[in-house]
Amino acid sequence: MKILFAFIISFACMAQEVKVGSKAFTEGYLLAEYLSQHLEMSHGTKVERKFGLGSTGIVVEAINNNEIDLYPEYTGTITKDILKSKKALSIEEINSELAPMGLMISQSLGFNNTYALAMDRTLAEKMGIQKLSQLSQFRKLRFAFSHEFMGRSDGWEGLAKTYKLKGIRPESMQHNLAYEALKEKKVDVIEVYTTDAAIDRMDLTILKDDRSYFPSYLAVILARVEWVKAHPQLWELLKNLENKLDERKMTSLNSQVEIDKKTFADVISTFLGNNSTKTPVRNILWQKTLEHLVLVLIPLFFAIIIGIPLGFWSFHSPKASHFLVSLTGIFQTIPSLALLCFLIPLFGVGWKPALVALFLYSLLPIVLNTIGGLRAIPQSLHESATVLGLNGREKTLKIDLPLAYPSIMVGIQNALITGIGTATLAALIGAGGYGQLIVTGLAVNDISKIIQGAWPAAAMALVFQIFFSLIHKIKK
Amino acid sequence: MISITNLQFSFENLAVIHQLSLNISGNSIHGLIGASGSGKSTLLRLIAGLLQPKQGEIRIKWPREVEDAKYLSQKLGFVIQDGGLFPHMNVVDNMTLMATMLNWSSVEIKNRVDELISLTNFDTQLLTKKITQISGGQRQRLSLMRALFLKPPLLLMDEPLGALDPLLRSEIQHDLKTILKKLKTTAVLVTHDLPEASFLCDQISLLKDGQLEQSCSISDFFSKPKTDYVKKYIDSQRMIGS
Repeated sequence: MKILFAFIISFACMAQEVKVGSKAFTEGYLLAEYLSQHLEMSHGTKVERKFGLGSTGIVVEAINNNEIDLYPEYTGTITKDILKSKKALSIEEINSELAPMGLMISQSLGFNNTYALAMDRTLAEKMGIQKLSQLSQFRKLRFAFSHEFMGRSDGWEGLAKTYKLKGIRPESMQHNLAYEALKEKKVDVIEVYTTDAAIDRMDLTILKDDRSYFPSYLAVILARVEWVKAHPQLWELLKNLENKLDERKMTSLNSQVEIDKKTFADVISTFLGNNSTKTPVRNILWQKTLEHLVLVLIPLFFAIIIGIPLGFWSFHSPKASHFLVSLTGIFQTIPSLALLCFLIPLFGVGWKPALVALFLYSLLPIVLNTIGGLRAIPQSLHESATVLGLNGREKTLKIDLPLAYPSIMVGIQNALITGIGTATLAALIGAGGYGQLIVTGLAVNDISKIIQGAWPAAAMALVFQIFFSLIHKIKK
Repeated sequence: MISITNLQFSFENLAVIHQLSLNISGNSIHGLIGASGSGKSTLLRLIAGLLQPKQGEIRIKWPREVEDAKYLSQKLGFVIQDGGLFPHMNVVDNMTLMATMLNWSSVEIKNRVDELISLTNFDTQLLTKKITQISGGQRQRLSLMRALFLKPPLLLMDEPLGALDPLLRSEIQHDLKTILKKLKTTAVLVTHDLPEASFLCDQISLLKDGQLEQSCSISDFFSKPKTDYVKKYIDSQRMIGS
């Protein structure tokens, strides 16, 4: 127990000077690392990285709950998803609308990551195409767009109207297949994001949006006003980064991660010329193991001390049993990620909602197995205990609990093993643990990174399995 | 010692014991017999206080020393058919459970264990075995030792030999007779087996559909059957016996 509490305390004390967040995709991680290293290099500022949060909703919740102080975001996303505005807004307009929410943004970091149409460089040069308004003159060009781009109102439909491309029938295919098709010269024009790693790798030309059709997705820093006021010199430091990164540089950074499989930290430290020592992988693994153990063991501990009495209570009261089993069953059927998100308004982001969710998940197997263990006790033994004159408490401690013990242990074991797996999802709401390695791996589509997070989780499950079978043997 | 008047008991509106009155005198061995469903086991549980009567009353005149007893097992020992022994405890722990709860000293406990072992002819080598490792006959001996451990003035037995094969049953019947004779305690034995009841008991009560057909001494039961049902019951058991 003491060790567990030490874990919690060390967990809680990690709060440092700047908490930088990010969403779970390559460019999000890279920009967050870029901001973090810039701060660390200049003043030796301590940065706590809370990267890989699952969605815009989760990051915003995190910044509102002081779980993070700032994170990189795009003006288009802020306009559409945070401010729910239908029309395009300038940076000044965004700032005045964010003010009542206690948030603010910096100027652009220097690039616009938006939709664009791209062609093979050689082909474009041969045909002399540089901008979108020229496309209508080349009716033989073949187009391929993602299903999403074809379906969005600000996708193909509006584009065709703005640039008079009606009559052209684009192929609709998966985004990465469109790249393949372009490579194979089966199509000539595809849609890309302006900083896609593939632009660099495949040597594509981006056609200029000369009628400003595509919405602006300028990369900016979204920060809490309160934090900015409290740390004016750090904010000034961050503002030095405004207008320093253009699309080509960002594309190259993305490509170093996705194509060359370098780590975010390495790519950024090379880019910034940062020579400070890097955290060795072993340390990260050790830290993630501690975090993962906290995520698994604390909820389990509470599920045990609450679940077993609940099991006893339901065994003695059939009505309670029905209610409890249904209730804990409902928690079990809510998909893990959804449950984690439901808990954000109540507990914020980070390890708190994760602990609550994992506690709720652990409850059902323990309650059910306690009831099952008690039901398996033959009637004659209940009668025996009664005729000996044992009172309720004595019967529970001397007879029921030891007899139901094997079944309860199976419940605890189930809760623990599934908990180790479920806890990896908690990374999406910033709870850390092995899941953080998996989420990062998924973001950059890097199997080896995913495995880095998956094998320790599997190993932990195995170690606990062995631990349980040892207890079982000793007991026998 | 036990006086039962106008006892009425039902399970979900189905009468199980109906207007039953009966006296069981102290220091006797009383057999409750009857076909299955006659209510004999229910009557025993009512006497033990495991069930509460709907009407009527059961009065038990407890000796003064157990009147304020903490545990039911200080007043009565109860032996059930399959023994009701706790599988998570070994033989000696099953036997001494209640004495430990009453904080008996280890010397007192050891003396009582020795007494009971010699009384029941229990094999001392089995004391540290698990319940699952001992035979059916030894289990019944253990169940009896557990019931008797706190020296209760009343011993209730519900088909204690029902689960045993005939040879073993006969052996334990003889042992039980010796034990009961030595104990000089009040005992009530539920059995469906008339020869067993007549072998072990002084008094006998035959139940039919929750009512008392006849209650008397063993000899009167065979020589002066009160009703046709009693006669039929005696005859049927003789036929099986012969």
